[in-house]
Amino acid sequence: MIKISSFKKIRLNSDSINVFLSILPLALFILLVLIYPLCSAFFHSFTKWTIKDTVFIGLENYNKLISGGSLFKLLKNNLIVLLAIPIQISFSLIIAYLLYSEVWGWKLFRVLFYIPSILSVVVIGYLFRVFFSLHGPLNILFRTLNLDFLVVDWFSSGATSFVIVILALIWSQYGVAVLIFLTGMSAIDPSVLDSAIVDGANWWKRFIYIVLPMIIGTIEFYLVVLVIGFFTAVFGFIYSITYGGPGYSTTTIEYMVYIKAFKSNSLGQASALAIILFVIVLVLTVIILRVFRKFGAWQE
Amino acid sequence: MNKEFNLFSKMLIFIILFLLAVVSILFLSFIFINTFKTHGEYIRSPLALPEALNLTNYRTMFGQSKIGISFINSLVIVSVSILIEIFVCSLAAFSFAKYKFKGNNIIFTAFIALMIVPPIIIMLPLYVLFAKLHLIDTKTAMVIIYVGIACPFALYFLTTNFRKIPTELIEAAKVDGASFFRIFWSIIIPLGMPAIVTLFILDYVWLWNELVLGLIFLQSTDTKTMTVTVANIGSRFFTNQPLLLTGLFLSILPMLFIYIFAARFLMKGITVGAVKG
Repeated sequence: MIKISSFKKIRLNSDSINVFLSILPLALFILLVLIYPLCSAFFHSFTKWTIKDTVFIGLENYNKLISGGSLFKLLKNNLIVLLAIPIQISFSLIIAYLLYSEVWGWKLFRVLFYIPSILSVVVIGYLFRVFFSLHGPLNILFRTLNLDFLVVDWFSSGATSFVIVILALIWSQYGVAVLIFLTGMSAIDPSVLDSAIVDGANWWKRFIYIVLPMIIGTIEFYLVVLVIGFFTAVFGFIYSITYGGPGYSTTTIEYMVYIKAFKSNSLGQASALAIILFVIVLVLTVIILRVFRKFGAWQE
Repeated sequence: MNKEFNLFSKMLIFIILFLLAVVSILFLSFIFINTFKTHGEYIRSPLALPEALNLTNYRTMFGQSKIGISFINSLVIVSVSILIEIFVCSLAAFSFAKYKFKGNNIIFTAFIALMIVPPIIIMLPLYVLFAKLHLIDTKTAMVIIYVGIACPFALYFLTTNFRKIPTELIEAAKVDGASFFRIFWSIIIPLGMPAIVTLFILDYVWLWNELVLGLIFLQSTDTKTMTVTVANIGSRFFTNQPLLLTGLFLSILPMLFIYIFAARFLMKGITVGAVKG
């Protein structure tokens, strides 16, 4: 996919000892912090595990998660979070295309749109929690304007809580998305677009028939980033906006791993859940890469 | 291309984009103005300007919550992690980018594929391991973990950039008798500096804002990072919004500062990998 073949040819011949020594520190860190924990979590997912000892119990952890039905409830919440992806991508694509068309002030907008992306998840989470709370500024504003019908207790139900979580997710990342798509677009050969203009293709047609197909690789890259991110890195949002509640209605797999491990002290079950999460992410990543590769081949 | 929009649509587009941009600024101002309010004043009028410049919230933050210490902790943990990570990864990236050896591509792909490992998986075994080694609640543990989780992306980022350094330069240096580490130090590092700086800033923002691992491995005032302290303030003092907003404001400041000076690098770095070829 990434064309690196031209570089392979000019690689230098082996300098074995030095090459080994240069990779060793990296390998040690990766072994300790990523590979060992991954294997250990896999092994302990078949055990009843406490800090002191480990008892092998076979598939019981997985059985409990699946037959108890809790896995599917959690998975449903993860899928709801994924709803943010199509919104995020289409919204950011249009903004990127507007900036690419050099509308008034596009350089300034590019910088301003990026501001939310430097804020920490906790900051954005608490900001949204405070701003949308029942007696918070938004509802007060609506009450003073006599628009009482717009006053909503956002955090009273799972569905409305998710609206806020998804809003926060989109707001926190759209600057990055716009920037990535803009970079993809700026790699398009301008003469292609110029000849399309000569042929009478309007702004929208050029977007759909030229720009989109040409940045499909960029969209693929970002889709993978988003899928991994929305499955494995929304902890901070859930932690600061809803605490997984009301009840467990906004608890995702990732958040449940945290609860199981550090609140109810069942490390074995937490490991099983974490392994399931990892497998889901792995499978999704492979599927996306496959689908897009087919799509790319069809394009050529 | 601007020609094909008429004046009306030009203004309409400008207004929509302007409103979108203004949301960020309004949110930041909302946080800022409320840091000067008492709880009562906030309840009465969360959107108004403060009646007086009341610094009580800041005093509580620096006094009771010791956010100054958290700031130093963040600074130490994040800086040390990234310096180690950059040293370790650029050394390896040099070999992966410029040397033929058995398994080069396989090892490289395996290492960068670890980018998809969720942090939530590694924290369980590491917590147990570090508890046995009495490393829980130490800056050392946090640094080791941050270096580890940052490595796959850093390796990918640096290797792609180091490949662009002309191999002829390295060959010439070899002919002149320069050793492997001499070449690394006097050719790769200086020529790779733009990439290293970009990576430094990218990872700084990421690790400064990292929550879940910090929350688990750092528990006392002497070790907590700013993000963790703010998260704790949120769960303990959620009902005192002005105090919480002061915490949020203080933790945003360093990142805003970095952003103003380094927006250029950040924007370049974030898009690496976005374009094929």
